[in-house]
Amino acid sequence: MVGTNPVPGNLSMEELAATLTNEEQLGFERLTALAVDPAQPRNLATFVADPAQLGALLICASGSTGSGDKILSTTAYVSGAPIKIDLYRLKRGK
Amino acid sequence: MRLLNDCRILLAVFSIALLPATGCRNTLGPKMPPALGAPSITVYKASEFTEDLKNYRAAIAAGELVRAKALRNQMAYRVMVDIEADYSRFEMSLTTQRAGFETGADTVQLGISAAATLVGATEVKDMLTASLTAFQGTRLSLDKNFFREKTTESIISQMRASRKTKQAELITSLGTRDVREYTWDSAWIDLVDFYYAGTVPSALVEIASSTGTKADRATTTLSNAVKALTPRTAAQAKQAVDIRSTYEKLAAEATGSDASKAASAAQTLKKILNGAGYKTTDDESAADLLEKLRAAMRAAKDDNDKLASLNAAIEAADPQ
Repeated sequence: MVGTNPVPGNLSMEELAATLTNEEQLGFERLTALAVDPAQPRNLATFVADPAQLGALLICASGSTGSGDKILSTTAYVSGAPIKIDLYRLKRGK
Repeated sequence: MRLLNDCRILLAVFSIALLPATGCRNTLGPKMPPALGAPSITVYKASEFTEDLKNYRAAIAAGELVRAKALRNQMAYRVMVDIEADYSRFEMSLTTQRAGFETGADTVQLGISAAATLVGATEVKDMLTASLTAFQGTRLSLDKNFFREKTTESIISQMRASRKTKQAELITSLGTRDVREYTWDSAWIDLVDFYYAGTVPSALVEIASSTGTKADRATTTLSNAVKALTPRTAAQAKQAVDIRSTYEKLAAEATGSDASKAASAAQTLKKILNGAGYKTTDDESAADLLEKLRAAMRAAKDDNDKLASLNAAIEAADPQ
């Protein structure tokens, strides 16, 4: 949903990427920010409306090489712990 | 004879019951020093006010802005003093009168109740019981209609808070803004607001509004809790991408210039929607069908079953 939404902090990198991708694809949105919730162990994802279909998201540990375009470097809760991650956007159709 | 005895009992009970309802005023505050309570010190007479206002207008006309500011502030502070003095008396009388009424009402209720128990004659007993019910109803009605069942403390507390806020704004404006920016008329509007902040209706509105704000905040918190994203697997994310790709393809075809492709896309949209459990009608346009599919996608966003159902309907209707 457009705006800032909590995302569970216990997801793996793959599940976190899948959850954010699902939101973008079916909600006609674009992820603009991902951050740790200062109040509890979870993440806060911010979306804006975007009528164009975007490629799926991929999350890698910070510094490792991912495919696609890097769109964000941030700290997020992954599997219950805050770690530095990079978010990539894959090309459409991949 | 028995009726006469009953009446004597009634009189005795009422007399004893009404005793505590008298004279509680001096227990609520110390005696006010005569100088503080003297009206001649605080009251801003209409003739003095008119004279000051005339001088203020003359100072403005002459361009004597510093003098005008001094006059504006003098008038505002004198009016403020009057409001302050009147409010203090009002607050005290609100407490004493309401407490007095409540005590008196309690006493009457207890008295009638006791009398109804003691009297022997059935007719008198019935009459007293009916009177008690009517009295209790009237008392509740008064409390509801005048005070909205709020305690005196909560009303006074709200009035004080609102008054302090208005007073702080007023004093800041008087101290920091000149007469061009903050004219006497502006100050007068703020003084009127300051006066009304110390009234029961205003306090009741503030209390209700504050309750509404708290409820809004609670709703937002609840809403935020509900809006947490539903965790998805990689396979479900792929389904989401496929669904969206199909939507994009059908949208392009349905709104494109090729009529046969548009008709085919509309048919596919109907199949998908029907397959996913959504009803369609023959008179729906391609735009209507696309909007329905978007709504189905949004519904599938947070619902595993709907996602699976929509994905299956797409695979069945539009095999890639």
